[in-house]
Amino acid sequence: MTPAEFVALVNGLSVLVNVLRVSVASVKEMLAQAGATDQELNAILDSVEKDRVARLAARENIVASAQADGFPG
Amino acid sequence: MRRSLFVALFLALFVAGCASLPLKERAVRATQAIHGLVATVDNAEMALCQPDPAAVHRCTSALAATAGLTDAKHVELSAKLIKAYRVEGQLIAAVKAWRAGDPAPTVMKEYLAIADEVLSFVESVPGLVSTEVVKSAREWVAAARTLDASFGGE
Repeated sequence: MTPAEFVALVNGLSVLVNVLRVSVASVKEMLAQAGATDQELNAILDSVEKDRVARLAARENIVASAQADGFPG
Repeated sequence: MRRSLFVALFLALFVAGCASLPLKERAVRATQAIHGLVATVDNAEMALCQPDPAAVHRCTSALAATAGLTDAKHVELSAKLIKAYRVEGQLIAAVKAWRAGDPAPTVMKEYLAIADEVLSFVESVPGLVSTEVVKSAREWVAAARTLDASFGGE
């Protein structure tokens, strides 16, 4: 192999590595844009549900307190 | 032959699952958003009322009196929010089970009705109209309508 061929080979490999790097980054980006998994979506809903239950209890306390104090309803 | 059918079925389900994900995600995010807005209504009313810790149906804030947020109004709004939170519980379960292409959950109409009822109620208290309570209630109703529309896949 001549020095010129060696340089060409190194350059070629360098280009190939860069192409692979860009491809991996593109695939990662595509996966990120594909959206959340069902598991992640369920976790969001579970978190909302937890807060809903706490807020419901707090408002029920208010109505119970009013009824104990003779408020109508 | 059987293996090919299995692979084809797997691929079909996988593609269908991927295709439906954005719509499902949109519905979940919208559900999260409407809960955030009803929570803002809840927090804003509580902040204005400053309930007495020993008798949480009584407002202690002078601002509440100025805004016309009487103890009776505070209790009445609480009763409406209880209805809203209960229906929201059914809505969350329905959204969890919902898949793109399914019709909108039937509970959605009931949820819109109670959100409208809360908005009408807070708007009927003149002193609340310029407060965060009414502002966030309006945003809540608008967001609930967006969620309803999102089930259509538009």
